[in-house]
Amino acid sequence: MAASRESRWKARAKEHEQRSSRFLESYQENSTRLLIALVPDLATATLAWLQELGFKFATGFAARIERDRVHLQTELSSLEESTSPRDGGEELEKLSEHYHALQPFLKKCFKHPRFDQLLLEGYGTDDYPKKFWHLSYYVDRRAAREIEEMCDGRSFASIRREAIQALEASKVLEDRIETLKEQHQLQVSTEKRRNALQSRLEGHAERWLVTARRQLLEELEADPEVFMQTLLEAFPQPAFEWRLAREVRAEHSSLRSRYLNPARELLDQKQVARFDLLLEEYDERLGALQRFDQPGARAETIDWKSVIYGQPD
Amino acid sequence: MIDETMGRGVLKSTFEEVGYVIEEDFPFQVAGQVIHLDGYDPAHRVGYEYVTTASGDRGHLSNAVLSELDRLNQKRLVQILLIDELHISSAEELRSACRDYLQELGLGR
Repeated sequence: MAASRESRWKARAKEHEQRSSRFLESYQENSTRLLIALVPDLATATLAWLQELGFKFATGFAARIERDRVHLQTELSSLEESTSPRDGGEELEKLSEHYHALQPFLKKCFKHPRFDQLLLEGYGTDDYPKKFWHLSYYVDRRAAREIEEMCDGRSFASIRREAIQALEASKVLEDRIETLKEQHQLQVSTEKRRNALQSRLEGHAERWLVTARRQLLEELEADPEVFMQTLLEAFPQPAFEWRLAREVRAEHSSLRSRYLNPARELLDQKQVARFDLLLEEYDERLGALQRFDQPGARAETIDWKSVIYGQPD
Repeated sequence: MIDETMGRGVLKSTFEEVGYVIEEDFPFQVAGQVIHLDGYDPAHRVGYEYVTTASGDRGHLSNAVLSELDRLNQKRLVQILLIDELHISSAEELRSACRDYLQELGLGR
């Protein structure tokens, strides 16, 4: 019996959640319908009327829209003026090729662990400071010979000249490549921002219409009583349906805290009689709300032909 | 880098293998002061100094001493090989470079 009560409660809770989702969906649909009726556009007359109704957001709304449009347009114009027509892609490719062509030789030289030290100490030039009575003179000489062998027997002085030229050229190329990459990156980000601005300007009116409807709904939800009477007079059907959907949703939501949650606690405390009573009351309350519930897709149930011709098809 | 003891051992054996008679810690007068060379053959005025931080050589070998050793070497009045431990990575490299030195000077026998 306890298991049966447990499963009854679980079934109610599950159904309650599913019904909550449907009531929320219905409320959102009704909100959209009402908002479209209330704010069909952002014409001056529409905004003035909303302001008359007491919607605070409508005050100065047209000026806000215009300020935003001018701000976007100014930024776009500024970007279009500053955009460089040259992208440097061809130069970047050419310089990268030059740079990469230099690297195998340098890589081969620097593969020897002593090559950089020989370069720094000026081995192969008059600036080389070591004398024949310094042992490192012989260590350097042996390293230089190994490097000469690695470079097909060329003299170290010649290898040194080429390596220094390649290093200097690499540095110049690296700097230029870096600059071109930065320019390219800047162009890409400028283009991206330009597209974003254009897109925002193209959809400007639509975006602000969505904003207006959202702000109106926020004000309406905060205090419906202030507006309801006027709205029911101006747009009876969507206003009534919105209000009904809102009340139904709130009422249904309260059933959870008033009945289902306490029933759960009673079941845990094994107070089964009180549990049964509370669940019964929940079912009764729910019965009244269920007529507003529309599970599944709305299906056409009226036999129109029968209505028109007075006979079934 | 190899330490003072190992470095001196390698140098002594390399010089001795070509016939020099090496006296270790030989007192040598230079630039108005006495230094102790790590190895020296007084009969042939041939020797070596292995400069290491651990033995305090960098303090003892002042610029004046090194300049005077350079001058003596340049004039071939002595043949003293100067080795800085910082430039040597292995005993084999030390031995090999030392042999190159002896051969270069025609001292190898």
